[in-house]
Amino acid sequence: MKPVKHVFEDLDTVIDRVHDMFEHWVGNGNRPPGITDDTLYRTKLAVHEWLANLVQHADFDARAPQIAIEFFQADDQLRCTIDDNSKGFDLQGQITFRKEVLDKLPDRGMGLLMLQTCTENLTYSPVGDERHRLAFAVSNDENLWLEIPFE
Amino acid sequence: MSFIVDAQSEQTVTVRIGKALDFRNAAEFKTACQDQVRDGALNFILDFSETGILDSTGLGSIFSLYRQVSPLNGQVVFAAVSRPVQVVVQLTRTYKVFRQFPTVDAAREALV
Repeated sequence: MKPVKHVFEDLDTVIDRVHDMFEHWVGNGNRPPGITDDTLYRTKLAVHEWLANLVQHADFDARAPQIAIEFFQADDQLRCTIDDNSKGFDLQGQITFRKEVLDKLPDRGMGLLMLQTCTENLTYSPVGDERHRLAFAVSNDENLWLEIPFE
Repeated sequence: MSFIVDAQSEQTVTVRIGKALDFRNAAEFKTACQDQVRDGALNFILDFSETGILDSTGLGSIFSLYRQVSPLNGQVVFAAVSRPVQVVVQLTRTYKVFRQFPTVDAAREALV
């Protein structure tokens, strides 16, 4: 699979456009070799959850939003980076906090936890030029789960 | 996008989820289901046959519905679950809470 990069500047349409990218992969027989459909769906979910977080909560500090998404394959892993020009936040701190306060059958607060569950080597850090980069990998591992309190 | 709701009986309805249940339409889903509960529905069949994304907020809105109807002995079940939704079900182990049926008809037979 050749690396794929797309840049988005419209927060209203970015999610639908990213969904279209995944439909192109899964629906038209363009799945990267060695990557399962379920891995693509977990990658789609991880990217969706992150974009949902950016769309709803990111502080772009009056700058025009810019989001650059890049995918590349390394053996049986799909790797992804998502650069944005928001002010950023402490992702690992938020994940720790969300785990601590997760309610029984919660309405909200699962997005970053889902992102973490789907992914490996998850990081979010400044990359200079007032940008931040989310980076992660998704593998063909089927034995992943998020502990949600049901009772 | 509004949700299409088919009534099977006074107490059982099918909600066609469509392409997505996510942070963009979860509030609308909640409202549609609350309207049905107000009209007497207790059992909800969620038809995921066309669904390409179920995100955390969408799942949260289903939990909300479950919390609303389960004390009244109502049920929320999943039907015709698409592969992307099945991935979320496995990831969150929500098969422990929501029964699944291969088709909407099978769910109707079990609930009506």
